[in-house]
Amino acid sequence: MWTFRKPLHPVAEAYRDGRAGSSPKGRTPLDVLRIVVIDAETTGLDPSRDRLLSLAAAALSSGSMPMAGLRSWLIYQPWAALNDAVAVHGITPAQTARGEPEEKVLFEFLDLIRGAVLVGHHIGFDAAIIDQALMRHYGTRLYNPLIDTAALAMAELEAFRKTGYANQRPPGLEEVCSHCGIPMMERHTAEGDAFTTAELFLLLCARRRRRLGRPLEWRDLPSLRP
Amino acid sequence: MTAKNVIPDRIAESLRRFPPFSMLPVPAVSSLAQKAEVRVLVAGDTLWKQGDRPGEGLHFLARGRVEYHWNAEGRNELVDVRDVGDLLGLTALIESKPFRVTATVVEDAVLYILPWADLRTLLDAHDTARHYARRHLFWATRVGAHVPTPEPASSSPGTGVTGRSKSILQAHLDGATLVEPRAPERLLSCLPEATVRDAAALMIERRVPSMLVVDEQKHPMGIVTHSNIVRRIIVDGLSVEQPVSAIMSVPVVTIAPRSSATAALLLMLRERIGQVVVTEDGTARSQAVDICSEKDLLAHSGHHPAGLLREIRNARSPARFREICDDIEGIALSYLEAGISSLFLGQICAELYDELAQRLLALEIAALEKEGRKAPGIAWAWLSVGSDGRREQILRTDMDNAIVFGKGANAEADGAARAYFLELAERVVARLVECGFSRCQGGVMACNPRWCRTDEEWLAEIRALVGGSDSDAVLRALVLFDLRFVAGDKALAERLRDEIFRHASGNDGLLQRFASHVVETPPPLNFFGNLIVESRGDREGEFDIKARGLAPLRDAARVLALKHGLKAHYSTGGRLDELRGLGGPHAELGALASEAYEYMLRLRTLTGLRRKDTGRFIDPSLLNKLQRAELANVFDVLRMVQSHVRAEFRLSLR
Repeated sequence: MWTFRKPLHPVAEAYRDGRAGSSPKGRTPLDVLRIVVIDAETTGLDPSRDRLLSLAAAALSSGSMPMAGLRSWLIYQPWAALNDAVAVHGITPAQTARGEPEEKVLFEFLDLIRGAVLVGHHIGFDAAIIDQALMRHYGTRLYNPLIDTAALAMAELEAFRKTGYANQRPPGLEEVCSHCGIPMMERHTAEGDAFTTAELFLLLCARRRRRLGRPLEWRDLPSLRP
Repeated sequence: MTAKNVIPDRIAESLRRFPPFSMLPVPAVSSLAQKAEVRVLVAGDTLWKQGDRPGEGLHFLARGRVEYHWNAEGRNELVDVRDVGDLLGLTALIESKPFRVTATVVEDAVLYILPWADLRTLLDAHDTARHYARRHLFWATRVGAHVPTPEPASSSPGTGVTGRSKSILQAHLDGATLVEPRAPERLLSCLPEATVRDAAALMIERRVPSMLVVDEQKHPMGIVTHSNIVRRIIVDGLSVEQPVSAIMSVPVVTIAPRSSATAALLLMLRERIGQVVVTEDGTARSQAVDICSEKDLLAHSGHHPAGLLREIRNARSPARFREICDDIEGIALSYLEAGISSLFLGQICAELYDELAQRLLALEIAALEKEGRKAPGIAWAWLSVGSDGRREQILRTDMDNAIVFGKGANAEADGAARAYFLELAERVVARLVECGFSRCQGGVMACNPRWCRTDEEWLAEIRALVGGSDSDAVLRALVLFDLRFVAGDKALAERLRDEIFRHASGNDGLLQRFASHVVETPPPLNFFGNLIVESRGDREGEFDIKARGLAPLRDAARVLALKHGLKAHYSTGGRLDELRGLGGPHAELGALASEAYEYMLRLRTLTGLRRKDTGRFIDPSLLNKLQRAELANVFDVLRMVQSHVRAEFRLSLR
């Protein structure tokens, strides 16, 4: 039986094409991978209901973060409410009105992350929100391999090791950063958190490289998908 | 609205908290930050290895600590530590040479990599930032190359004032006042066989004041000026058919192209000549390129020490002398702030104050004669001693001077001469006081009979001081041994100086007493590297840079100069530079100590000029982070010098 499927949007198609064969092999050196650190601010914590308010991406290049590779977008959400989340990210309904259309932002975002490994703190949540938005506009989801810095921190830093305690939750960005002595820049803006997360990621990678005594490879990092 | 540039702006903010970024315009730093790259390294990582080539970027240490290790002859030595706010790799980038040290991260580090090409353009355009960077050249790493101080050595004619290598930044710093040779066609020259008549005709035709005499290779041999012609042809009656070699002034004083105009002027002041020859390599053994007269050089700037020199020669009234002295200090301040070496400035001021003393002496001798007191017909010399003798007086602090006069036939003649010179000295000292100098509290003045003596008395005193061991004798010797001729008969002064060196250099007991003076005052740093301040009195909370910093270095320079017979220089900086020429451990010691001395002298002079006092007491809370760090470096050098002196003069540890 025929199911009607909306044909994939060309942008999404290009994104999916870029993905083909992009899943890194285990021994690929980390330095040759395209790594993009992302962060999203949202209207709330429920991926099925809440929407993107802002998005930021920091592209890394062979172990360092050029300022030129830092992008951020403020997104226009017509139904943004003045809820509790506003107190966190500080993006008021009036400000979101000055944002760009979600479709256009996603378009640029997809272009940027094509073929890249995405890194974020609690990236599962960011990815879920972005998935929903992608599905609405382009009928696709994220296919990039994901790395969660919270998981990396738990593996790398003694203070956050898995204990077996049932209610142990992955550490927050603030906790890990204050443990590592990384100051929070522009906390709860997508750009600031992406920058801080990138710094944290670089530090954790450097720690692990030091510990292993060799340059890092893809297999050395805990990845979530695809 | 997209929240653009928030993070680069934050980076710019953290850059701007530190020099040289604090000295650059805000938008410039912001655009630098937008091109920055962030790099994270953890303890144990190597940022670069000794011998690596620097890349395109300058590293700014935003967090963490990095150690510099120097590997030489199989030994690995920690030479410096960089922490937050420091620049890494500047020296290598400026000189585009490989790194001289290995940089190892000791505390997790976040580095901002800034595009060097952009930063260099900015530094070129901003003087204070560039000056900071220039200083950094030295303090960044205490190994390897020496950054030359622009102080000219008391040079013999022909050796010139340059031939010293200059860093790009230093050259830019002096850029406003460089001697730029003009088109070579402009240079008028002839062979030594040419007749005076032909030379004079050419000079008139081309309307130039001088003719350079050169050999076949165009190497300079001498100069013929209008005054040569007047003196030798008209006054002495030589024939105009004589070759120019018979009347030319020799030897020629040469400088290299692109020398500092100030240094060239100083050389002309010292040599009392009207022009210097620019040659290809700065010596008389290369092709002549141009002749620079005082007038040419003065064209570079309106307000110039050489102009003041002429003012002094023409001045008569006390008020005018006072004005000129105020001008000297004003110029000194602007020079210091423009980054001219304080040692060099001391030399300029010494020339001017010497000229002042000469002028005042001449005026007072004339005045005395008018009153019917004729000068006794014997040789005499006016001497500077103490800090003035070392050419370090930039500010008008207290005067230190003395007179030596030739011994007469009998005691009666000596008595009469002494009475005359005491009277003369009293008058000159009074006029110096009118000019803004203060009387020496210790009575080191030519009007004090203890400092106005015959040559025989002085020689006897020197011998006594060399043998004496009481502290008064040592203190007196310390002041006297820095004597320098100012006016009168130079041979008389030189005899005393030779005697001092002859007696002191072999006298271990005396040198040890001097050396123990050097190590008496430990550097004012406590265990944690903080500055120690005076804990009581009205100077509480400040520290005495003269007693605790300058004096030990100055004394060290003197005792080392005496021991090794380094007589060419009078100034502490010059002595230290001369020490470098000894090679071995003295070379590094001299280089470091000279920079340290320069730094403290600058700090003291600037403090003094701003506060209108002697600048002797410094309030550490008024220093910025950079100055405090630099002072800590300076005192490290002092500590090093002291332990060297302790070892070289075999002083026991106390």
